[in-house]
Amino acid sequence: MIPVSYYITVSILLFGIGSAIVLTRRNILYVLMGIELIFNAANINLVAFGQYDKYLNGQLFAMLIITVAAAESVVALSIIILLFKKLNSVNLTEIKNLKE
Amino acid sequence: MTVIQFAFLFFSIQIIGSSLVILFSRNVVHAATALLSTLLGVAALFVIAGSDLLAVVQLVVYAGGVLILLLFGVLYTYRAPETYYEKRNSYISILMVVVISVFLMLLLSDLAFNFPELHRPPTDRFGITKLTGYLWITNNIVVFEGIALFLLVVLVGAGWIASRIIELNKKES
Repeated sequence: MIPVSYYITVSILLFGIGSAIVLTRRNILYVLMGIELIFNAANINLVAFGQYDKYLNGQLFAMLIITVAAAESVVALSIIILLFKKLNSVNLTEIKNLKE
Repeated sequence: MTVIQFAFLFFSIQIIGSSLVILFSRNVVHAATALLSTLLGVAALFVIAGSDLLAVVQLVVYAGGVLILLLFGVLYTYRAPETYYEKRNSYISILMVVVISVFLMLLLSDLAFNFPELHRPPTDRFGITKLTGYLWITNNIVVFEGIALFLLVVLVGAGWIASRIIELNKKES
């Protein structure tokens, strides 16, 4: 039986690394990967606390987060490909507008 | 050290190590492969926490769906690494990880590390799969329908954006 605090330590480290990726990298694909890491850190927390719940609320909510994350990455990737078609770049500093 | 504790340590090191690879790698394809390793490690942690159904969902949706989609994005927008230069700022990255982690540790320490000793409720013969299905269609039916509607909206929106890409391709040719 692993104590909850161990899960929280792992998820805090994962969250820190994910936010560092989001804040420091310039390539928009890396930023998307960092967001996925942050979602996973939240999921580890929810599952670690949810294992003690009789009604499995934490795990149901984690499933919800996985679904929404998948939808988010679909829309983000289609926007990235559209931007790459228009601007020929995936650098966040070069992307300034979405209009024609 | 029991087998469970050893497995937890192993998968934690795998998760943290491969996410550090994403933070420091220059090559996007390497980063996507490291993301696969991270997602598999998180699925293993779900199994250790007693949620085998969620581990399967993680494998199917993340490792099978999102990652393949991300690899498509990576390969579609690929440019030779020499054509652009990204300044290497490893110190800022490490500093940021340390600052955010320490801040969250301090913020959560009162709640998380003095968490009262709890006991896992006994699950039924079928594990949590049956109970999860039952709870989705009874207590959480509104959320379930909400997700369905949301996914429909996402499908339509992604299709609309894809039609713009096709228009752009036609205009170019």
